[in-house]
Amino acid sequence: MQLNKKLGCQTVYQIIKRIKMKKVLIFALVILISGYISAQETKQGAKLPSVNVKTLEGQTFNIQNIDNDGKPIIISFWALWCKPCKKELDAYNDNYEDWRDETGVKIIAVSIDDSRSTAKVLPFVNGKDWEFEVLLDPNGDLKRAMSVNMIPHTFILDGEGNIVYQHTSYYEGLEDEIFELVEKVAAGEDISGKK
Amino acid sequence: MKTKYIIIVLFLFAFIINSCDKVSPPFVEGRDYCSGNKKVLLEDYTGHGCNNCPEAAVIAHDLQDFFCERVVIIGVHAGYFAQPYLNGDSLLSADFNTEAGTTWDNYFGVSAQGNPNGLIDRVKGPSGYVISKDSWAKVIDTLLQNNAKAMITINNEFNIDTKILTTSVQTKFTEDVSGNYKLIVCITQDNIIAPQLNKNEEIGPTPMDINYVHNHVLRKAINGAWGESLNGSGTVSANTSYDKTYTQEFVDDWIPKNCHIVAFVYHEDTKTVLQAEELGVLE
Amino acid sequence: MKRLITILIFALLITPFVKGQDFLSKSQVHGSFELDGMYYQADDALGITDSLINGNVFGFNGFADIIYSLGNFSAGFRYEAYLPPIAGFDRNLEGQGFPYLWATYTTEKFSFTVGNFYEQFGNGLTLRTYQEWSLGYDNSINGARVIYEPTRGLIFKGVYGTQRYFWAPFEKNGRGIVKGFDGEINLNDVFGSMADSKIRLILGGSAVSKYQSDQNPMYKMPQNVASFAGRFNLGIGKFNFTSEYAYKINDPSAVNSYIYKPGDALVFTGSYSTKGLGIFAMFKRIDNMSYKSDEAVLSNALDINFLPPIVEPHTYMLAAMYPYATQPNGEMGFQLQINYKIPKKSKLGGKYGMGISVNYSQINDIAREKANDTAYIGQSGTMGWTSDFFKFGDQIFNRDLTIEIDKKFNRRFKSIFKYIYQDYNIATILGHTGEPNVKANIAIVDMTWKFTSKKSIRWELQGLWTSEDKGDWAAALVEYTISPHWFFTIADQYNYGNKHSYEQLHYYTGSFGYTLKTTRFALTYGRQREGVVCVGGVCRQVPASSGFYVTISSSF
Repeated sequence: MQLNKKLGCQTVYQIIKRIKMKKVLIFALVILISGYISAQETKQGAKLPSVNVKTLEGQTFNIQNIDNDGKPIIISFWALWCKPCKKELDAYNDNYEDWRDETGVKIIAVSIDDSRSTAKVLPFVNGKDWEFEVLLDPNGDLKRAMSVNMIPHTFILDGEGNIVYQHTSYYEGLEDEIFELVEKVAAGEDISGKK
Repeated sequence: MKTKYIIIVLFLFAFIINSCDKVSPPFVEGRDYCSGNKKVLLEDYTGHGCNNCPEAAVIAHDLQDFFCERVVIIGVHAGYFAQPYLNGDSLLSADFNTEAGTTWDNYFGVSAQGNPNGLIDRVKGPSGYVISKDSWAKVIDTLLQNNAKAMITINNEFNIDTKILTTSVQTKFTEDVSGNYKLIVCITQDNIIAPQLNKNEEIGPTPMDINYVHNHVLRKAINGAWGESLNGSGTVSANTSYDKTYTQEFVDDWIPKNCHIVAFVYHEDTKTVLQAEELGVLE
Repeated sequence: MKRLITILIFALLITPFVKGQDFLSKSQVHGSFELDGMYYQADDALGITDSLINGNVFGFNGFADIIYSLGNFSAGFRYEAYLPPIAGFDRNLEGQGFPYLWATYTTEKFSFTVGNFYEQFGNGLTLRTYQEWSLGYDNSINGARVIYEPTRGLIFKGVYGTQRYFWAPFEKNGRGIVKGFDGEINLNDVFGSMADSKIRLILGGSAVSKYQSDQNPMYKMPQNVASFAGRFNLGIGKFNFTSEYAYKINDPSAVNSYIYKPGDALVFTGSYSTKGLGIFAMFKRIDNMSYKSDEAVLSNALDINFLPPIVEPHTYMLAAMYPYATQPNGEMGFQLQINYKIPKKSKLGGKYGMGISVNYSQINDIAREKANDTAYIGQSGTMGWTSDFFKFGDQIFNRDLTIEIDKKFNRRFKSIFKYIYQDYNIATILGHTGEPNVKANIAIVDMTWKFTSKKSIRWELQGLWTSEDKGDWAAALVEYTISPHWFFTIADQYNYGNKHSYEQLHYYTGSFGYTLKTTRFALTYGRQREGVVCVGGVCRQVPASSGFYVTISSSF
């Protein structure tokens, strides 16, 4: 199957011609407004929303109640079916002891598995021997409230509970970069300006 | 604090009492639909490779009885599941596709939503034209409440020697209406025995019924997929009649005694069918 | 259109406020968006002579979701556009608008939401509304919700509203109204004496009712159909048990062909876990539990409840070839899983330990008997069938055994080995009536080699061997990633064992992507297999497609 070399320019032109312009403009407008509003947001840190999640034992509690004594927190969204998420958490687990000793960081892994797999998360996490805390978000309430779309999606919170960094996707070696940022946050540096 | 719990429990109790409608047999409603001059056109989009379609054909037939013969059925074979030699199966060699059927299927997007599916008087609901078989009864019932705005009379003359059918269709409007109204005249055929994929053991052998009886199969739209205009445009006053006559030569497969002429008149812009009528070729 | 203008004016009005410094410290705006576009091409080998799919040369799905919060108050909306929907998505999605609009006020004990919302009661057997963008699924309730927590460990929820049905607005005598109530009590929190107990117990119950006026001329429809459920979650030391039982009164609908028997469902799980070992077992039974807010709808919409499938979801290319879907009219099955980590420094475990996971699941039909002598099983307008609660039916819907070993050899090299045996009832689940169950052996090797601290390469080799359906397949994938931004992938699935030589095709794809923090861009070119999608007794062909697929997503 040969790729048509002229495809690039011809394709784009044809696509634009056929798309209903009015509707695309409205959509673009909404994105622009949202983007503009978001640009204003960089001045202050966003905090965790008031949303209920469950522990692995089924207890309900509000995510705003997590506390790490002024030290940084990493929150990572994952699911049993998400391979890169499990790789990321494995990588964090391998380093967790060292990271905790150096910075006091706490890692919380929030599983968005729905009710077909919720009861499997506890034996899975124990079978994997993960050291960090795992929470359940079975209907995606926290995921939605934190505007998480694709997983893995990881947040770093500073000592005051402000969200100072977030990223999606996981590539091998990313954990080193994350740890550098956590060290900076633990030292009181402001990394949110790096947006 | 305790009173709050009592209130919650009482609320729950009231809620439960109010939410249980247990229905006792008989489960089927008995109503009389025999008075009324409006007939409804039911197009059942189907295909011989569609194993859920025999159930739809049974429902269509049951509805014809239920609504006192006020439903005119056309079985349109079109789309993916109606292809001849579907999946290379030589038993599915029949080709019941027609130019008109394929045109309608593409325009109304019926098979694109899956089969079986249907159109009822080609009315357009909030989700489009396509109506699933379990909603047919509801939609037909609503349409049958209206009075007919036009009456169609068909007269067939079939010459056995030349195999030419001459059909005269008279459309008489009973009320004032406005718009361009067009007439479509089709031939449908019953009792065609050909293989059909089937999933329901109660209807026939599974997975394929080799001797399935296909009824109401659309053979041809005599005056074209979109028919012929009656009034052109503007308004039509009550009691105006339009007469159209067509001739059609029958090919070998079309057995006259099993064939019907189905005629329906519709509004050109909305496509909504005003009235439908059916008459056997030899009647 | 009016609604759209109001939203835009609202959005524009927020902006000057957001700019103001004092508001800034308390209010937040954040959101996410995604655009997926697909451009189709003709492909002779696949039999696509035309570059059009359903009359279109491209598909475009997009959404933007914004949340605004200030103190106890938050509000938001989502804008969606399907212009037209990408091949495989329900055609009723075509259009654009604001299907999700909401406002919430939350205090310590109390939360009140008006507008569209998502909610789940227990496991979802009575009520679950959720959204899944990749499937085009959204059954949000538009109405009001109250959550009340009088004390720690006690939660009451009440919901009322109508569900989303693509773009159709709610009309009187149209689809139904849903009302629901749920209560959950955590005994360890409520009763001080139990606070330190080794036994952890949570109890819950829910009642949901839908009201839809009887517009069906053929059958006498119950206008109010209620569904009840009770559940518990019990933890004793290293053991954990959960269970939920749901009961639904007569609910004749298109899905069950208008039968009048009540429905019930039972889900039971038990697990034992300790450091390095997890054992899990699950039993499930469903009998006539489809619960939609419109009796005539067959498609994947308007479900009030959620019936969780009992199989292990598979994500590798060939492992996902025969996916299972819950049969709402009746199924019964169980699942067993053991996760074990062979400790580090042991002979087999090596330096990093070795993980082993074994999973077996089986789902059968329920055993059905005629309800009375004159009617056949499932006949419309009758009681349908009777079924012995603990008896398995003869037909196997799906059975699979999965063994997975994952091992990290050294700092740079790790791998996953997976073997699956699957016995899949293709006749019932995909509607290929008459075909025998597909019995397939699937083997997967997935290796990652990290050759510098930032660059790594991963490859997969997969094989699927079966004598049914399309025969044997082989697949390979190579992925090169440069942390933290780039990935490049090429993959191919080759149906070498197909009995028709003209169908022995390569389904290749090539893609690359770039990620910057939370923004991700990916472009894929290649072929997608065709399929037939059957939902609720209506089958639709998803055409094979060839072309470009672009996706851009971001959160802010």
